Amino acid sequence: MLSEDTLYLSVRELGEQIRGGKLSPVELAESFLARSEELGPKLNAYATVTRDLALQQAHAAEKEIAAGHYRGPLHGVPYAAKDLVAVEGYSTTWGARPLAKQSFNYNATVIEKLNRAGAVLIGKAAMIELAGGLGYSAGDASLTGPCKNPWNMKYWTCGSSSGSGAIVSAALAPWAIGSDTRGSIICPTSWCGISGMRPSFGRVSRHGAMAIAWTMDKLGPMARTADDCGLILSVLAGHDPLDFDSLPAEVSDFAYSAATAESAKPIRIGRLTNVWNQQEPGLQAAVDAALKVLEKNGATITDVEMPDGPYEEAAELTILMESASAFQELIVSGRCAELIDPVGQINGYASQEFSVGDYLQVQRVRTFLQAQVDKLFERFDVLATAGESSAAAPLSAPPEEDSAGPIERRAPDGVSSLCGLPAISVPCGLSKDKLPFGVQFIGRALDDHAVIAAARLFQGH
Amino acid sequence: MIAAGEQETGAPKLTPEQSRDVDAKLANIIRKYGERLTEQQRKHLRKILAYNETMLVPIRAYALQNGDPPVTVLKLSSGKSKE
Repeated sequence: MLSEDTLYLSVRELGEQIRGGKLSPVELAESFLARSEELGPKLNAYATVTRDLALQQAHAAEKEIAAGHYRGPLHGVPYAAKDLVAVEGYSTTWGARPLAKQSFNYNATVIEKLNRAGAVLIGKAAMIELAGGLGYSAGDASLTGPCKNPWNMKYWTCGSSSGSGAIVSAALAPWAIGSDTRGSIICPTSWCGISGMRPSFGRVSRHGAMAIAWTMDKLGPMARTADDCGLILSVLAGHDPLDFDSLPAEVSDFAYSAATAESAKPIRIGRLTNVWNQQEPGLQAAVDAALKVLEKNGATITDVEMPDGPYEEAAELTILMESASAFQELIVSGRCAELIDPVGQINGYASQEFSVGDYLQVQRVRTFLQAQVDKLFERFDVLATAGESSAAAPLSAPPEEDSAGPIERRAPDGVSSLCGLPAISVPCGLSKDKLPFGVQFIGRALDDHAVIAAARLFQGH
Repeated sequence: MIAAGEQETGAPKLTPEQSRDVDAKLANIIRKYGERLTEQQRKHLRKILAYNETMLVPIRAYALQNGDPPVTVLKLSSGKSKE
C-alpha cells in the first residue's frame, strides 16, 4: 500500500512518476481502491467503486507503458467520475432514489476520451439527487446519504459534486470529474479545500451526462492543483458532434503545457467588491491575502463592481424552466415523490407553470447580461472573489430554501454560469473552525487559460 | 387549499396581481396533480410559486425590443455534424 505522501501527489507528479517507471499503475490503483473502500463509506463519497474496471485498466496501462506505448499525462492515473456520467457496465444513478437501478449501455464522451488516454476509473462519485436540478435544501438530498467533508466530518462538502469533492480532498483518487450548472464544482471545490474548474460552456462534451439545463450545464475537473486542472482539461476538451452545444472544433480544443500556462503579460485582476450579501468573517482577508501574493508576483489588482442586473434571477429561472423539461418524465409520472428532498419532490410542479413567454424573456435578457459582463474583460483578464461566501456548513444546519432569503443578484456563480464563463477555485486559507476558504478567478468566455494562469501564479508562490 | 391572496409565513410579499397569478398557478397544479399533494405540500408550493413570481419581476421589467434575440438560437445542421 502506497503512503499518503504518494496518494496526495498531484496528477502531474503521479503521471511523471508513472512515465518514469517509478510508480506502478497497478499498485497505485490498488492503493486508491483500498483507501476508497475503507474511507469512502465513512464519507458517503461513492455511489459505486469500479474495482474490476480499475484493475483491468491499470494492468493494461502498466503493460502498455512498459512496452513503450505512452498515451499521455493521464496514462495510468486514477480518477473518479460524478455519477451522472454514463459508464457502460455500471449503474449511473444521478444520485436519485427513483433511478437507483439506471444504467446505460454506452460510455459518455468524456469517459471514452479518458479511456483512450489510459486513465483508470476508480469509481462513480456520489452526488446530490439530480445534481439539484429539481432543487434541494440540505446535504442529505442524495441516494447515498449526506457527503461528509474530509476536513471535518460533521460538515458538508457542498454539492452537487459532493462526492467528487470528498474523493479528491481525502485522496481517494487524485482527481474527479464534476459538473457545474450553477456552482456545483466551485462550491464543493471551495469547501473541500481542493482546486476545481468550470470550463467555458461547450468546451467539454456533455454527451452521456445527465442534463439539468442544456444552456448552462458544464463538466469539469476537480483536482489537487490548478495545473492539474489544465492538464486534465487538455484531455477532456474538444468538439463533439454528439453534444449539440459543443463549441466548434477551431475553438473547443485546449492545448496546455506548463510553459503555455504562464501568462506572457502581467495578469490584470478585477477584485469584485459587491457580489456577496454577506461573507464569513476572515474570508475576505484570506482572499485579499491571496491577491497580495499575485500582486507581489506581477499581477495588477483593481477594485471593480459587478454591474447591476438580474443575473441570479435569470440563472435560477433558466435552471427551473429547463429542468422542468429535462425531468418531465419524473414530474408527470409522480416519481419525483421518491426523491429525498421535500423541495425536489414538488418543485417540478411549480416549474411547469412558467410560460413560454417568460422563458424567452429570460433568454433575451440574458443576451444583454452576457454583453454587460463581457465588457468588464476589456479592462481585466480575470475577476477575483471568494469561491463561496463562507467555509463549509455543518451537516446539522437546518434545511435552507432559495425562497428563504434575499436574492444575491450578483453572486458570482449565477453571473458566470449564466454567461458561460470559465472559473476556477483554489484554496486560500482556513476559517476559525479550520475549514478551507477558496479564492475564485472568473475569466472571459473561452479564456480558460487566463483563470488557470491566475490560479497557478498564486499556487506557485 | 390556501385561500386566495393568503400569504404564507416566510413567503415573499406579493402585489394583488402577483398573488392572483400565483393562486391561478397553484389551482392549475392542484387540478393536474392534486391527489398527489398533501396540505403541507400545497402550502409549500404556494411559497415556491410566490418566490418564482418575485424572480420574474426584474426580468419582465427589462426593456426589450423586437430585434433583441434570445441566447438560444437555431444552430444549423448540415447532416455532416453527426459523423
